[in-house]
Amino acid sequence: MTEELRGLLRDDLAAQRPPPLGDLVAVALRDGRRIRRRRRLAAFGGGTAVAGVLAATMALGGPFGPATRSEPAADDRTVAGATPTPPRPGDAGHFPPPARPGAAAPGPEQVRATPEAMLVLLEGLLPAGRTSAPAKAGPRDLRVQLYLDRGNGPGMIRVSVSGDPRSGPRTGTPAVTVDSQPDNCMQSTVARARWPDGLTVQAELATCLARDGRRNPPTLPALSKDEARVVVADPRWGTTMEAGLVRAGAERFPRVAYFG
Amino acid sequence: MLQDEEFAEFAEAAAERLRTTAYMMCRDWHLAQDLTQTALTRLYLGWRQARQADNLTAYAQKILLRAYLDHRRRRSSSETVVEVIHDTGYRHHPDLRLTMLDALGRLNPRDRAIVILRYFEDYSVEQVADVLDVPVGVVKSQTRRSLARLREVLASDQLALFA
Repeated sequence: MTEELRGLLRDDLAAQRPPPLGDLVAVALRDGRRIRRRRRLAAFGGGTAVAGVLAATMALGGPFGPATRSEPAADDRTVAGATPTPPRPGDAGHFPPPARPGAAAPGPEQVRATPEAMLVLLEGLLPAGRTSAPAKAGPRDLRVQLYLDRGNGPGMIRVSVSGDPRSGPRTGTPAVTVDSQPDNCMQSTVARARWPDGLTVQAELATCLARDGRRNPPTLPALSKDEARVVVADPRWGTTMEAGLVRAGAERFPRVAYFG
Repeated sequence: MLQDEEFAEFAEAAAERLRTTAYMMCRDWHLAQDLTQTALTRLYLGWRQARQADNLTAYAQKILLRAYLDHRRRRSSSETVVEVIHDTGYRHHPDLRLTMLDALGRLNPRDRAIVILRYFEDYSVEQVADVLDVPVGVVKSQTRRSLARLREVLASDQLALFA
């Protein structure tokens, strides 16, 4: 039976047309080295900080030395320490993207991303229309949903972000792909942007809405493929996002429903 | 640097096989590519320990399958949105017959992994238990249950395999 079952699976696989394997190994080596470097730096930084505190304590005469006013500890969610220039909360139009995605100029303060900040950014990136049904997959899951009605009824978009936290401005340009899955109405079109630092941003355009208890009502996709490419390629997506976007998200979406 | 070369040599040889396993689990080549990438990166990070393993390929498969199961837990990528399908109908309509991959897709992720490892990768029950970190008894019972489920959904000529 084993041989026959394996034969059937092999036949099925032989009928597939897998994409090229690409440079999986080179990317694994590059990402692995980068993570190792970051871990070493973190360990070194922690050790240095402890040594620094000890040295300062000694210089000040130990715990009984003169009282001094120290700088407040950095928020542990803060990743990059650029001077914050908070824009007014509101829509994502207050948060213009960098003019050149390839540039590595210091950006605004970056903090841990939230689904609510993703909703603000997504709203700002969508073309004109009425948005509704904001939702998230979990309390901290970087996966959100919006409906966009451009006059033909609402269409559903879900965006997710995955990758390691970054510690500085995003550099390079993303590789963007768009795939169609005609037999999956929830992910009828999937646009993905893969950044050199390992971040992947995915937008799913649906040809149906979320289940209404009985079925997934059919609908038109909310965006064209080109519009989806623009959404996923925005350099502001990340596991960390601009502090202003995160603040705006908390104000604009204080309570967000969950989708299953 | 010698370790990097060792890793690269192994990864070059194993990547295609890992991606195929990932594809059989998720039925999405792009996701399979991402999972393989994740597994290889994790393997690189633990290479010093991994290279001591008796069966390095099984060790890599273990990382891959855990990456997939983590992915499933983390995201709602498994949403099934099609109308209700009466599985047994496939047995009587040759035009609608399921492929073996389709049939595997009807199993839950862990059961699918058990069938793939047992019958495609030809692992022993003990090896499957080790890779999936479950007791041997669970592998045996889930294998029986999964084969029964496959019998339910496959066409009659394919059922001859399970006679």
